[in-house]
Amino acid sequence: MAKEIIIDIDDEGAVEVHTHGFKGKACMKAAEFIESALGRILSTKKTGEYYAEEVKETVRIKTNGN
Amino acid sequence: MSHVSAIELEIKDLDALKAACERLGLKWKEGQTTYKWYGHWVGDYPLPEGFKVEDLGKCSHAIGVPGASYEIGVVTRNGKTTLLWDFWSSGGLERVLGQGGGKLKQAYAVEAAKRAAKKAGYRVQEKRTLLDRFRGAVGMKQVDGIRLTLRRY
Repeated sequence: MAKEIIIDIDDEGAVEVHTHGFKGKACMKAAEFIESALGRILSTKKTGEYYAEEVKETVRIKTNGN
Repeated sequence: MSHVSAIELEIKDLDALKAACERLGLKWKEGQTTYKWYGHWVGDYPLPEGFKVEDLGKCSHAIGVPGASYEIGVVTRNGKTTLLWDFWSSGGLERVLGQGGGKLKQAYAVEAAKRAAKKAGYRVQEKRTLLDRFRGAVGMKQVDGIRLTLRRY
């Protein structure tokens, strides 16, 4: 699976950072530079607990041995 | 594994702020030490953290906003940058920049994130789109926004 960092910034200026395809703790590491460039982190969640479609992705990552 | 972080914006990159102004058609006024506002403190809202009444109206640089009579003050102290603005409706800033200056915050976040990403060796794709946002009891809601997708070269 391709490694991607997605940064969503809504019209009110609220920022969310999503990482996909990084192994284990690397996903947290991958987004650190963006998070430190933009400001203070308010909350962090694994997306599996957040979006249904991401659960599917998480499962796929597991079957790929990641 | 995937994760989501919500971030409270801090202005850390003045060049990104200048680029954000350009993006929105605002005028960066380098070295302008006052900005236009109502002119005296009426005490209807709390002062920004670390600021006193006599600090209002003074700045390091200012931002002119076409269509608004008031301006935005850019204050840098001890390496920390704060934007001061008077959002009293007759000054016009919220009418142009959205509630809480959202459009400027968004443009800054886009520019700052793109700069940081390129520096870290990522290719950046920008797209205006609907974003899924979790809104507590309301559940998922779609809102307008900008999505940056970062990939390695």
